[in-house]
Amino acid sequence: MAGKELREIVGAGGGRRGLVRELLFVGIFGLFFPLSQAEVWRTGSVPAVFALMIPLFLVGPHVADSFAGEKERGTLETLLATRLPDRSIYMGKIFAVVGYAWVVTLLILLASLVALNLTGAGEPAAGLEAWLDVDTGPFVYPGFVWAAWAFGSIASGLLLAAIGTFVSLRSKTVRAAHQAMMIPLFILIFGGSFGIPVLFRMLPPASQTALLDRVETMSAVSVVLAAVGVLFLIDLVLLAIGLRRFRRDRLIST
Amino acid sequence: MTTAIRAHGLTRRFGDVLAVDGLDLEVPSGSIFGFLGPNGAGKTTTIRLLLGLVEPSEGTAEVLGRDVLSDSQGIRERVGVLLENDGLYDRLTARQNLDFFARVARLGSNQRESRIRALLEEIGLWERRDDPVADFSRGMKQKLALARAFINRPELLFLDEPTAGLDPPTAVALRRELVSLARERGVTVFLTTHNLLEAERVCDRVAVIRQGRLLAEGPPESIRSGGERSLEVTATDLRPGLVARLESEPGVTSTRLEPDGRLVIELVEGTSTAPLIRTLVESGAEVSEARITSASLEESFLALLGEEEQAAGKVQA
Repeated sequence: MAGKELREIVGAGGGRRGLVRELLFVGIFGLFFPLSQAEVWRTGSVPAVFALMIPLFLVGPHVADSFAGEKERGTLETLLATRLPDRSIYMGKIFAVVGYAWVVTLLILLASLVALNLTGAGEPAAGLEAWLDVDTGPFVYPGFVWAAWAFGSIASGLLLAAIGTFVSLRSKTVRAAHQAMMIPLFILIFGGSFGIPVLFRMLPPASQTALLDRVETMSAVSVVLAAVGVLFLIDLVLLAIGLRRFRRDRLIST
Repeated sequence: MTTAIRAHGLTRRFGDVLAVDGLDLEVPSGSIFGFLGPNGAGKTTTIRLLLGLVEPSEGTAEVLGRDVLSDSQGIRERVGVLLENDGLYDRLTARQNLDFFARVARLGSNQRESRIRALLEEIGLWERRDDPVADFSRGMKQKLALARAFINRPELLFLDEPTAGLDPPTAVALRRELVSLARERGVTVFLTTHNLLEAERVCDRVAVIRQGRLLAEGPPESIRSGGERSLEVTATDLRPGLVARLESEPGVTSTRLEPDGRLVIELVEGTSTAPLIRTLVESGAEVSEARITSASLEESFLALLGEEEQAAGKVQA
C-alpha cells in the first residue's frame, strides 16, 4: 500500500515534473535559505526548526489528496474491495506520506550542508579551504539537528498526517480537502511558533523558572527528544482514534 | 451443485431510502448470473453488500461459503471485481497498476511478473505497459481494469457493465472468455449489464431488480416466456372480416396489420399456431411465410418493469 502511495506521490504531475517539484523544495529550503542566513544556520537552531516544519509543508498537500483524491478519481471503492485490511490502507497512506517527507527533509539538510561547506558562507574560512582543512574538517550540524530530523520530522509529519486523514476522509473533493487542510496547517505552524511561548508565559513564575532550570540542565539533544516524545504521544492518540473511525462501511455510505 | 452466492432477505437502508429490499438470491457455482435493472435499482448496493463493503440492515448473505458480515475479508481475497469506475490509478503505468493489485493479492515475485505479462499481452497492452494510465483511451482502461479483476485468478467475478466502452471485437472476445471461465474453470460470474442482448447470450440465469426488489429470477428463457409470443404471417388475399375472426380464436390476444402487409397475431404462451394457419388458408389467404417470434429478454424486461410500475401505481392509488 505504502509503495503504491509513494509511486503516486513522486509521480504526481507526471514523472519528471514530479521530480522538479521536489528539486524546487530542496533548492529553496536547502540552498536559498541556508546561503542567505548562513550564520544562523550554522548554529543549528534554524535547521532543527526546519526539520520539524518542512514535513508539514510536504505532508499537507499529499495527505489531503489521500482519501479525497481516491474518492474523486473513483479508485477508492476498488481499493476497498481488495483483501487489504482497513488498518493497512489507513497506515499505508500515512506511512507513505510521512516517509516521503522524511526523505525530502534529509535531502534538504544534506543540500544545506553541502552549500554551506562549498561556499563557506557564514564562516571565515572560505569554500574548499574549509573542506581541505584537516584540523577543523567540514562543517557538520550538531547532534540535536539530526535528532530533530530523525525523530522530530517523523513526529511532526505524523501529526499533520493524522489530522489530514480526518479532513481527507470527510472531504468529497481534493480541492475541498486542500482548503480544509489550511486550518490545521496554520494552527500547527503558528501555534508552534507563537502558541508555545504564550503558553509558557501563562505558567506561574515559579513554574517558569523551574522549567527553564530543568531545560538548562539538559543537553540540546535531550530537549529535542523530550519535545519529540510529547509529539509522538499526541500522534499515537490521534492515530488510534483515526484507526477506530476508519471503516469501509462508513466510507462507502457517505 | 454448490452455491457461490446465497442471500436471504438482504436489506439495506440509507436513512429513509430502501436501496435493497428483502433480496433472496441463489447463484450456482460456475454459472454466469446476470443482474439486471434500471439505474438506481439497487444493483451496485447489492454488489457492495455481497463484497462486505456495506453492512446489511437486515437479512443474511454468504459468498463462497463465507458470511458477508463476519468474514468479508475472506470473501474479498477470493473474488475479482470491476465496479462502476475502472478503479485504476491514472498516475501509475499499466504495469504498476497491475503490480500493485498483484502484490495485494500476495502473488510471489516470479508469479507476479509472468501473470502481469500474460494479462497485458492478452489485452494487447504489453507495448504500452510503461505508459501512465492517464494517457489511455476509455476502452484501454476498461480492458486493463478487467485484467486487474482477473489478476488473482478469482473463484467469483463481480463485473459491473464489463463491456461498456469496449469495441465490438473486444466485447465479443470478453463474452467468450467469460463463458470459457465459467464452463472450463468453474468460475462464477456475477454480471450487471444494461445490454440485455449480452445477458441473453452469456448468462445461465438472470435476475431483474427494481427499487431494490427482485421482480424475476431464472434462466433467460424463463424470463422471456413470461412475455407473449406472436405469430407473424406474410400473406396476400386477406379477406375482410378475417382479422376479427382470428381475434375470436382461443389463445389470441390481439391482431394487427403492419404497414408492410404483415399480419401479426399476439398469442398467449402455449397457444398452438397450427389451427390459426389452417384458418388463414381455409379463408383463401395466400400464405408465403409464417414465423413464431418470442419476446426478447429486452421486451420481457420492459414488460416486467411496466407491470411493476402499474402495480406500484395501483397500490399508491
